[in-house]
Amino acid sequence: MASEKKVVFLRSSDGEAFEVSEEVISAASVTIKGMIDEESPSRADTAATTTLAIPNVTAATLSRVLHYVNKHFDAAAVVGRPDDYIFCAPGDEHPLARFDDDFVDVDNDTLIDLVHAAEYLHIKKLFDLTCKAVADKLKGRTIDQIRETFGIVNDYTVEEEVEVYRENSWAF
Amino acid sequence: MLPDDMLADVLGRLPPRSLAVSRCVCTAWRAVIDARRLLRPDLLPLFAELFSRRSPETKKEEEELVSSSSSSCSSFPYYPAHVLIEDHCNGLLLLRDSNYVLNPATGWRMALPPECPRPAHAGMEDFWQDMYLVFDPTVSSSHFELFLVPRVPFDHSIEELDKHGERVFYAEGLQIDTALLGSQWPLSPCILNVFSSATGRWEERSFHRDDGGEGAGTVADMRIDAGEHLFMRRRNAVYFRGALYVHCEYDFVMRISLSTNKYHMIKPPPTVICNFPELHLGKSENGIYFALLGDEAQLWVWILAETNGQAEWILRHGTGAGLSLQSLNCTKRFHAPWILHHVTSHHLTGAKDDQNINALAEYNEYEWNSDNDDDEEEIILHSEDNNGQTHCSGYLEILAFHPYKEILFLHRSMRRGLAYHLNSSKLEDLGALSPNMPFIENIGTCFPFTPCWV
Repeated sequence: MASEKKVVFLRSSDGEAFEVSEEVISAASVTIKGMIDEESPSRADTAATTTLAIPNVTAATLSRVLHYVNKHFDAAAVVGRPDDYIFCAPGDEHPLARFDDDFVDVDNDTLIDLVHAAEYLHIKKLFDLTCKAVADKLKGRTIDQIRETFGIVNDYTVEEEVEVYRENSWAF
Repeated sequence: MLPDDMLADVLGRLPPRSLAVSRCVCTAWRAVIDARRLLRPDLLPLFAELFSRRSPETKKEEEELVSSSSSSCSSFPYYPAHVLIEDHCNGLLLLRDSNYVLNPATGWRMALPPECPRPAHAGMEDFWQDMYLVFDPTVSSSHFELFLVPRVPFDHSIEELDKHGERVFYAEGLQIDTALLGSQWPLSPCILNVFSSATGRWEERSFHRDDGGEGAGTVADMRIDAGEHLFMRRRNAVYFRGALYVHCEYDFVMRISLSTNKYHMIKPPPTVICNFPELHLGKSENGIYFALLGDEAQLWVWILAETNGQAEWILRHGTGAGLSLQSLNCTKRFHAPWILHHVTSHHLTGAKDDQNINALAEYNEYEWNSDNDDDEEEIILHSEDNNGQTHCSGYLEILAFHPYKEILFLHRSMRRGLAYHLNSSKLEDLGALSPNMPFIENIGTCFPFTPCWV
C-alpha cells in the first residue's frame, strides 16, 4: 500500500477544495481524524483520494487554518519538538511564536471566524491561540470601546445598566 | 459574535478587572460570566494599606525591629519603600510627600510639579488644602486628576512645646477676613486648583453651586473648635461615577460633578449624639456610604440616595446595642487572614520626630466561621486591665469600607482587624493587623483597594 504521503482534500463551505497531508491534518484536527477513520474501511483498497466536506468553514478561513496546521503539525517543517514554542514568551526568538503573533494579527471578523473553525475542527492549540487573541483585544478596554470593537449593541435597560454598573463599579 | 461556550473560553482568559468591565457590555456577556462563575470576587486581590505613625516617645530600638521584620512584596514589585500615602483612587496611589502618583501594580508613575498652588479665592491664601486623587480607568486608563480642596481653618490654635522647647501646632488658627466669614461655604463659584496629568499643569477650575442648592453655612459656622476636635483625622473623598464626594466640615459632603462643573452640598445624616463622633465616608456595594461609631460601639451606616439631583442619607444600619465584641473569642488560636507584604520604616523630615511605618497587608477573604483552631500561630489579645477577662478590650475605630461588599473594616486598639458584615450583622475577627509586628500602634490611614492592572 502506498501509505507514504497520503493526502486528503477538504472542501470548504463555498466549494473550494484544499489539499493537505493526511498525517498532518490527523495530528492537528480531532474532527478530521474522526472523519478519516470513519472513511477508512471503504477506501483502504482504493487509490482514490478522499474529499471531506467542511460545511462550516469558508475557503478564506480554511486556507488560514491549513497554513497554521502545516506550520505547527508538519513534523518535517517544525524545528525541534512541536510543542516547545508554547513555553516561549511573546517576543522570544522562536519562529513559531513569531508566526503565531502574526497569524492572529488580523481583523476581528477574521479572528472570530478562526475561533469558530478551530472549535469546529477541534484544533486545541489554534483554539487557545485565537481565544487568547480575542481576550487580548478586550483587556484594559472600557465598556464602550469593547462594544465598538465588536459591534455589540447595549441591550441593558436603564435600570439593569445602573444595577450592573453598581455591581462592577469597583473595576472602574 | 460568539456562542456562549466559545465566549466563555475567551472571557475565562481575562483578569478580574476586565471581566467586571465585560459584564457591563451586554446581557449575554453578563449571563455567560454569571452562569459559569467566571468572576469570583473572593479571588480578587484586596489589599489594605496600613500607614502608621508612632508617637514621638517610641524608643529608638523599636525602629530596628521594624526594618528587620520587613518582608519583600512579591505581588507588587513596584511598591515603594519610603512613602506616605495621601490618597488612592481605583488602584493609583498619591504620594504627596514624595510628589508623585504611582500604580504599584504596573510600576507606572508620574512626577508632580514641586509646588502646589495656593487657594485661589482672595483672603483664603493660607487655608490648608487637602489633595484628592481622581482616576477613572473607564474614562482614560492613562490620565488622572488631583483636586485641592480648601478647608476652613480652626478657630483657635492648639499648641504645645515639644521636648526641645519648640512650639508644635496641633491645630493652627487663622485670622479670617470679616467679609469672608459671612460668606456661604463653599463659595460659589468655588474655584479649585486641579492638576491634570494630560497637561501636566495645575489650573483653576470653577464649580458653581447647583441651582436651588444651599451652602453648608457661613464660613464662621463652619469653623471647627480645635479644642473639641483635636484628633480629627484627614477627611476622605470618594470618586464615584463621574463625581467626587468630599467629606467636609461638620459632616457635610460636597458632591463635585466633574462633567457639569457644578457642586452640591449634601446635608449630614440626622445627628447622633455621642462624645467623639467620627463619621467615615466610603464607597461600597451600593454607592456612597457614611458610617458612624458611637461611644458604646453602636454602629450607624447610611447610604446616599440620589434622585433628580437631590441627595439624602438613608439609614442602612442602626444598632441600639453596641457591637457584640464579647462574642469574639480573642484568645483562641487564630490563623490571621492578613499577609504582611511590605513593611518599611520612614523618618519624617522636619520638626516632628514621628516614625512612620508603611505596611501593606493582604486581606484574604476566607470563609465565614472557619474553624481553623489548630493553626500554627497563636495570637492573644491581652485584656488591658489584667482582670483575667478573655474578651477583647480596648477602643474601636473604623478603618474602611469594603470596596464592593457591604462590609465595614474596623480595628481594635490598632492591633486587631475586624470585619462587620452589614447584611448578617456579624462581626468577624480578622486577626492581628500586623502579624509580624505586634507594635504598630497608630494606624494613620487604612484603605482596602483593588489594584489596577491596566
